[in-house]
Amino acid sequence: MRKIISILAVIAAGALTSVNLAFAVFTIEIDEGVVRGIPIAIVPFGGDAADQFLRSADRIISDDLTRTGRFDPIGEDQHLSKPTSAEEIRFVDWQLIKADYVLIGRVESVEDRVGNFRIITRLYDSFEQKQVFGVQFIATADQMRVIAHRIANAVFENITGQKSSFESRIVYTTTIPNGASGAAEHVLYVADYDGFGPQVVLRSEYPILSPSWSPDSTQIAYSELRSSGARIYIQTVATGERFEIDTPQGHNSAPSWSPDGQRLAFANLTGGNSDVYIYSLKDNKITRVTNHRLIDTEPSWSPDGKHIVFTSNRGKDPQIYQALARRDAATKRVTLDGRSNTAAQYSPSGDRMVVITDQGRGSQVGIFDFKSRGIQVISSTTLDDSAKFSPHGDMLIHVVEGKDRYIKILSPDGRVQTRIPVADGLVKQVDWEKSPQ
Amino acid sequence: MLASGRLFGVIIFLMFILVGCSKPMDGDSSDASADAPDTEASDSAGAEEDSVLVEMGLDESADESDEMNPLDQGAVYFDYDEATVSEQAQEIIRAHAEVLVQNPGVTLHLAGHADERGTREYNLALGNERATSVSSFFQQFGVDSSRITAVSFGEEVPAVMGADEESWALNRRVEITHDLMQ
Repeated sequence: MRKIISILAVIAAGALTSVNLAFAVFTIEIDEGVVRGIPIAIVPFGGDAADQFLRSADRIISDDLTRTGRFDPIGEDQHLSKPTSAEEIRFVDWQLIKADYVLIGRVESVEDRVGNFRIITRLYDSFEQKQVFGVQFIATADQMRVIAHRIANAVFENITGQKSSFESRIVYTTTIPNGASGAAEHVLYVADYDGFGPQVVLRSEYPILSPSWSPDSTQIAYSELRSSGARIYIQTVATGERFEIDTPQGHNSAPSWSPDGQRLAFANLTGGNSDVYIYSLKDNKITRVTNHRLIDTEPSWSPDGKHIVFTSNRGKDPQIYQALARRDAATKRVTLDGRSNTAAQYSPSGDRMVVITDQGRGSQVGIFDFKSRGIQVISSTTLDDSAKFSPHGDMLIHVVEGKDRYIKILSPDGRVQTRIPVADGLVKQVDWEKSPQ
Repeated sequence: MLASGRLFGVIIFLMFILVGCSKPMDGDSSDASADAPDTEASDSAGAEEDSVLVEMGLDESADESDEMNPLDQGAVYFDYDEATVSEQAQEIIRAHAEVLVQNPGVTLHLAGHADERGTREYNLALGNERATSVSSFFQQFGVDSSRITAVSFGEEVPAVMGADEESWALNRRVEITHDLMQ
C-alpha cells in the first residue's frame, strides 16, 4: 500500500535573481510494506516566537527524515501530549504510540547581535528514557530553513551514525518554451536539495546540457548546444563568470569532474562517432580514453579517480562499460542485465552505481551492485533520466520526463519517493552537490 | 533561435494540427494543445489530415502515389534507438541528392534528432549517428562531403511535444535543408 501525503507549499524566491513566486503541490509517496523506518515523533515547536520563526520547522524536519526511507515520523494527530521543554516530557506518552524517539523544541525572542531568535531543541529516546542531544541556535528569520535542515541532520546523525545530505544543494536545467523574448529560454538553477530557494545561475538561448558540480561546490560545468555544435563551459557559481574549455572539433558534451577537481571527462562527437576524452584543467591537455566507431558517452569517475564508466552501444544495446582513466584504455562491459543501461554514476562509497535502466518497462532508475552484478529498479516511473546520488548516499535524485516533467527524490531502496518543486519551465537534468559547505 | 526551428516552423505547425485532431487530446498532453488554433481551424485542418500524413512520409499506403514528390519531404524518420536509414528514407535522400548533383553550388544541412526516451547525452550522440548515416547516403548518391554540414540536436528540439508513440515517431528524424527546397 502506498501512502500519499500532499503538501501545499510556497516556493521561496531566490536571492541572486528574482524567481517567480509559485504555489506548488508536491507529494511524498511511501510504500508501506514490510520494511519500515524508525518511528519518531516530531512535536510542533513552542515558545513565544514559534509562530514568527520556524512555523513549519517540524514539517521540514519530518520531510527530510522521511525522504531517506530510514525514518517514519508519527503524525501530530497521534501525539498524546505536546511538550516543548524538558520538564513537559512524559516518556509513557511516546512509548504508548511506539515512538522510539521524540524531538521537541522552543523558539524565543532574544536581543543578540547574531540574531533575534533562540532555538532550543532536544531529542529523546523514549524507551531508554533519556536525552540523546540538546542544541541551541541563535538565528535570524531568513535562516529558518537552514536551521530546520541542521536539526534534521543532527537527528539523522545521532540515530544512524551517518551523515545526511539535508544541507546540500542541487543544480538543474529547465526549458521555458516561450521565454521573455518569445523564443525558448534555457535556464540553469541552483536550489536547496528539497527544491527551495531556487536561484538563476544562467539564462541562455541555447539548450543547456549535463550540469556537473565541481567537487569543491564552487563551479558548475555544462555544455551549451549551439547549431555549430555543443561547447563545454565552466562557470563559477558565486560570480557567474564562465569560460569555455578548449575542446576538439565537433560536439563536446557530457562533462564530468574528476574527484580531485583537476580533470574533466567529456564526450566528443565527430562524424558518426562519439568517444570519451579527458581534459586537464592544469595544462589544458586532452587525452583520448576510448576509440570506437560507435557511441561512447556519459563518462563518470570512480571515487578513487582511477576508472571511468561510460555508456556505449558497441554491443548493439546501450550498456555501461568501464575503462582506466588514461589514454587508449582497455574497456570492459559492466552491466549485463536489461535492454539498456545508461548514464551511470558511482555511489559515494564506490560499491554501487546508479543507472538509467530499461528492464522492459521503460527508462527507470536502477542501482547496480558491483558485488552481485545485479540491478535493482528503485523508481516507480518509466520515463526517468539524469539520476544522481546525494553527497552522502542517503538519497537519490532524478528527473521524470513525459507530459508532466518533474524532479523526484528517492530513498536508496525506492520505498519513499518525493516530488520536489521546480522554479520555472520544463525540467531536463539535475546534479547533486558533492561536498556540502 | 536555432535555424532549423525557423525553417521547419510551418511543418511543425501542421504537425501540431495533425496531432491535435487525429487523436482525442488528454487535455494535459502538451503545450501544443494550448497553442492550437480554435475549433474551426482544427476542423478545416482535419480534412487535410491525409495529405499531411503523406507529406510527413508516415502513411505507408500512400508510398506509391504518383502525386507524392519526395522533394517535398524535409525529413526522414527512424526506428527507436536506430540510425539505420530505411529504404523509404533512401528514396527521399536520392531525390534530394539528384537535385543537388545538378546544382553544385548548393549546400546541404542535416540536423539529427531523437525522441525523449533515453538519456539526453545518449540522444545527442544518437542524433549525430542519424545525421551521419543520412550524410553517407547523400555522398553515396553523388553529393560531395564538402557540401554537407551535419549536426545533432539530440532530444532538445522536438518537432512535437507529446509523450506518446505518434509524437516520438515524429521526433526521431533527420531534417534535410537546402536552398532548392520550396
